[in-house]
Amino acid sequence: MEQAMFVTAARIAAHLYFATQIAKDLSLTAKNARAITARAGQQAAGFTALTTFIQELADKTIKLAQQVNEVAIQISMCATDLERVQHANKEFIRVKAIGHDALYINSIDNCILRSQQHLQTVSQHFMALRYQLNALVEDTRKQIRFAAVISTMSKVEASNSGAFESQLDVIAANILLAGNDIRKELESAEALLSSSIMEESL
Amino acid sequence: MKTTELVNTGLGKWLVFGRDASKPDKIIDTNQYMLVTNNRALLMDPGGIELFAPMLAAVLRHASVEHITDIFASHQDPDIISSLGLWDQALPDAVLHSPWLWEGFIRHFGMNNIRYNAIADSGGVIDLSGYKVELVPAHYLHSSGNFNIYDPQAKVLMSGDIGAALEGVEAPLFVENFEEHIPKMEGFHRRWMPSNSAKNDWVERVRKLDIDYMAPQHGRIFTGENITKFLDWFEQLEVGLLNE
Repeated sequence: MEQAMFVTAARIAAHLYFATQIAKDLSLTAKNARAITARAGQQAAGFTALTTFIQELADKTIKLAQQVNEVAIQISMCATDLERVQHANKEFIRVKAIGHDALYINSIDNCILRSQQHLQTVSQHFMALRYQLNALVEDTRKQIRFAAVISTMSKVEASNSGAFESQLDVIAANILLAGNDIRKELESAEALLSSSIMEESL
Repeated sequence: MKTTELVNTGLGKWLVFGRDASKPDKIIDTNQYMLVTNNRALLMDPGGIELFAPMLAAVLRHASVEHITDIFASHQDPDIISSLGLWDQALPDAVLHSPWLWEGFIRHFGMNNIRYNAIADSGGVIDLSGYKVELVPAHYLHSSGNFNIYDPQAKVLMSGDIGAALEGVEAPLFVENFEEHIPKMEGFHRRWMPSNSAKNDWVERVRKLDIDYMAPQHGRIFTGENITKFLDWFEQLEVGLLNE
């Protein structure tokens, strides 16, 4: 059965919320990396340069995921509004059918017209928000691809960090893990978005 | 949905809508009322969301959409006003008269257009361009913020849940034998009305009114001596009790 768009949008928002939480953990990982490299000094000079990238990756991902989350919430609210207007429109048409012989039945025509105009406005807003959401999810996904690159570079630099290698290895592994987890949440969000667009086009 | 003209004074016409055989099985039957004056109409306790389409279709036999300027909700229950979100889109310029106590709750049914007129605990008047009806306090009968409407011209008291009986759609519209009707309403009043003092206060207030029709939101309408019989019966009834 087709799922109401306001439910789908809420589910997308939930995935993006989790993505934001993971990105916040990534930000903590970046701070830990800075603390370790500060202690390691010259031994981890190569890794020190990478900590800025890790922090930037976390910050950008948090910002994008929050934007996506906000748009998904707006979509959920807009979809609820859409559902209400559609319901009213259907009920007004039902009134017209049930009361076809009523003396004042034609006075319902204005209600039908008004609800159709409202429906059109809300639908257009809804579509615009959905395109915006699609673009933002795509941007976030592109952004998170860098996690794998940074993780690989971190692993290489960790191996040159002497006594600090094992600690920095953990950091490199965490970056990869966070990147993968965020990617999974984004893929789930994209899948929901695609299925809702497909359902609508059927 | 059946429509019956209760009384027509020439200046105002009272209509009762109900006994809807097409309603879903598990929702209780309700009476909706409309007072139509020359250029305004007041819908009273317009009912639940499930009844909206048959209700509006029935209303349009007697008044146009533009004619309906006012809605009254005696209290916050879903069988009273859960259709509000749809009326809000059908009658965007209307005014909803309802207890101040329930404004923040009733708005949950969806209200973006209609204006809320918060009725003070002491009651008030709805002025339909010169045709005035009174808002009679009926708090705790059963809702903690609750009103009846009294029309002194037509001598109708729309009594909300007071006098209600939960019966099927085949029940007659008027109480014929009061004594036989008691079992149909006794359990409801004992369980749903929580306060003896509020009840007695209401009885005292209503005894002062000149009433030809006492019209509840469920069940049958009281006329003539059955109104006095109801007030006497209700006055002596112990309420706020679980059914034995």
